[in-house]
Amino acid sequence: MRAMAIVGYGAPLQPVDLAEPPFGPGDVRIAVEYCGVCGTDVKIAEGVMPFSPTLALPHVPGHEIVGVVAEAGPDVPLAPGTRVVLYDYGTCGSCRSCVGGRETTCSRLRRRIGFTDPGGFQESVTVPWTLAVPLPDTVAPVAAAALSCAIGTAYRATVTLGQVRAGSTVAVVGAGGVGLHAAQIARAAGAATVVVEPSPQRRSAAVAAGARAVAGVEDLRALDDEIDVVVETSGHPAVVPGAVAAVAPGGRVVLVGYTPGAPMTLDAQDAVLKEVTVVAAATPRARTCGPRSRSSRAAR
Amino acid sequence: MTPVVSETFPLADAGRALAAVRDGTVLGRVAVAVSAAGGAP
Repeated sequence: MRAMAIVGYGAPLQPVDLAEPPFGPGDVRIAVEYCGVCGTDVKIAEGVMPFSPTLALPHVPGHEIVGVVAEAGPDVPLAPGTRVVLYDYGTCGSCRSCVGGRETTCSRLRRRIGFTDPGGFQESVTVPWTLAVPLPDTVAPVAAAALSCAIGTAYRATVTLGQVRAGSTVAVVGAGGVGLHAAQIARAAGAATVVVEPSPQRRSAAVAAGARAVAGVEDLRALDDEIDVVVETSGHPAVVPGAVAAVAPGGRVVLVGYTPGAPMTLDAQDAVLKEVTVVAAATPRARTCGPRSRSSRAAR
Repeated sequence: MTPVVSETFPLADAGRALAAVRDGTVLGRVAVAVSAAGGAP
């Protein structure tokens, strides 16, 4: 089957022809329709992820997969033709993280689609059915390409970890794939939202989504609002001190973006005296993505 | 809310999609359209 693969770090993706992988009784083969492109795919292609030194090349990236069940094993309750979104974490279901409901930090991860295992930049992907979440007909497949990561991560950062509620004021730093969706989710939760983004085009998109927008994190302090939550999606190392400075006493700063090899620093005095909570969000949990993949169930 | 998938690229142009994300020249998410149903040639 056709695929686009990483054949060397930092080099352009190359077309490759891959054999179909082995197929088990609990597996589904998904004919990929769309695969969203995440900033992490760029990092994987550049070879700067923690697993990069041991990743076998060629590697097919892409973890934001939507497609149709083309083949289902005998143990699978999904019919061929079912449109699904894939949850990329194949967790053990038994480690401390999984049992505690934090499977995104599973210590015995069995697979991670597009990260350490073949992803969606190919015609089909074979995975355990427990990673496939049926998609309602009301959701356009191309829109669903943003669902499992960009939107799911934005939800986890904003609602689950940011604890944004009606009446909150939220600053979202960065109006990229996660940030634009985080701003919309915060607004849907009833929060007032301001987006921090240097790009005029992206600021316009944020305003069109119902947020106010400023160019820099330092501009937040000029606002009259008390910022309850800052959701940092840019990964720019210089942002965190400004985020801590901007958030109200007792507020929360949620880190989503990161740049490999570029540590962020914060003013501990500012954070301590204001009792700011700093948390980090990697990716959505299974229960955020759908009912079939529960944290208590091992997903091979 | 409205998912923002602003542009799709055919599978053969997946590398160009990656470059667009890396360079920040796209809005929101972009997607690689893989199958015929997904619009790829």
